[in-house]
Amino acid sequence: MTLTATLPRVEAWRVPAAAIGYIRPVPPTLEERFVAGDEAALKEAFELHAPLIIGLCRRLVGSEAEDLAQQVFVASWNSRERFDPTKGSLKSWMAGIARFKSIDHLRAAGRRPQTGGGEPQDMGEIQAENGRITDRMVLTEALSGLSEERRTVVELAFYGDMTHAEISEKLSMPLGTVKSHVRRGLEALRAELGVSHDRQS
Amino acid sequence: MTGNPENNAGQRDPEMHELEAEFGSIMGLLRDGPHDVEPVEPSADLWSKIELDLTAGSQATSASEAPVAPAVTPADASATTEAAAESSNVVSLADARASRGKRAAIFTAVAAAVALVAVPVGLSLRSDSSNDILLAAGELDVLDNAASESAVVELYDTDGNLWLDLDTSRAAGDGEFLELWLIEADENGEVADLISLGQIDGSGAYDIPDDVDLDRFSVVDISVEPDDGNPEHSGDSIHRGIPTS
Repeated sequence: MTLTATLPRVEAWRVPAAAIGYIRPVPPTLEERFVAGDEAALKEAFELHAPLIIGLCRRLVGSEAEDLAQQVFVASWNSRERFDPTKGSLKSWMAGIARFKSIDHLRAAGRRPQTGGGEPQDMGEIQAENGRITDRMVLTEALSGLSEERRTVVELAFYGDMTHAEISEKLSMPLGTVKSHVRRGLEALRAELGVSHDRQS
Repeated sequence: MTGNPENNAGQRDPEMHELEAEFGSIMGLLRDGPHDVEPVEPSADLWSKIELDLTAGSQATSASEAPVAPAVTPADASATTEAAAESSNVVSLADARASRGKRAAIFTAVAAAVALVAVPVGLSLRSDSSNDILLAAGELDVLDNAASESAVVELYDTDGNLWLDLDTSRAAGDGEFLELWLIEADENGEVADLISLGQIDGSGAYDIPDDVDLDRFSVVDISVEPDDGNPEHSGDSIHRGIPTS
């Protein structure tokens, strides 16, 4: 005797003949449409990410931020097939392009970024500094994409300088859960950082 | 709010110390505090410049008979959206199943009976990792006329492990609980077999056992179960549907 033969009210379980009809496929994401060459996705990406990318470019190269941002969007579109949406966000990937292109941009212009005070001495230092600025931005943005609970735990651990035990007590959360949130949060942030470090163009 | 290296939790907390070897550079950056990049609104003509660059680039590429990059022009967005959908990076369920087919086993009545008392797992395993590949998704039908209720499921593959991410506002009443099932329907739409994924407590992530053949158990079902110790399906289903790729 099979299990199903003993089930109550089998008739009530009839899967609707139009079962296929209630399928609602998930529309492709902005990132997926971007990679596939949907030009509308580029415009959407621009409207969504341009302010932050330009802001980043300003930190990286100073007053010619828009020129660099223009290069970033053009390069990202031309090399879009190299972007893997399953690995991270388009924003992080574009930030990585800005980072790499900022060095080329400064070399071509023969100038240093206008960061205001404590200006780096050579291109090696500029490269390191631009990497640090970009990494911090990517990490902070990625942090905002975590679930609220996980983000809170990670923020308390790193921005609040709290130990796992202190967070556990503050949030009335089991220590194991705090530990899990920190580890999984760091794994997610590392993946996002990896996307920005890929050599994209 | 910037981390203070003089009073660093990493130095006081053995749990943090364990993570340093693996995530040291990221942890250092995090302790520097949130980024200080101020968003800057683009000037009015920046988008036009980008369009112009891309159009010029496309024309130059065409002239040299290299692979053509599409120009950014007011093209038919719907056509490109469809193309995007067809070639999106969402792994097709058929492909995913093909790769799992070899380890799929015939689910016997005995195995199903064991699964019926399986414990729900991973309630905190919401998808926020880039390792999570969305295979399929769908909004389940409401079967009990509770029009304001909904249940949306997403099927993910995380490093070879399949799991369902359920988003629902449903809650069980006193003396009952909600249970998540995978059902195999025969060609007439009758229930041929079923597997319990365990009790559910509203939204959460629920692992799918490795040996489940999703080609067979393709229907997701949520039932209300009386808390009477009987592990069989009550027959009182409130949501049902088939997530698709």
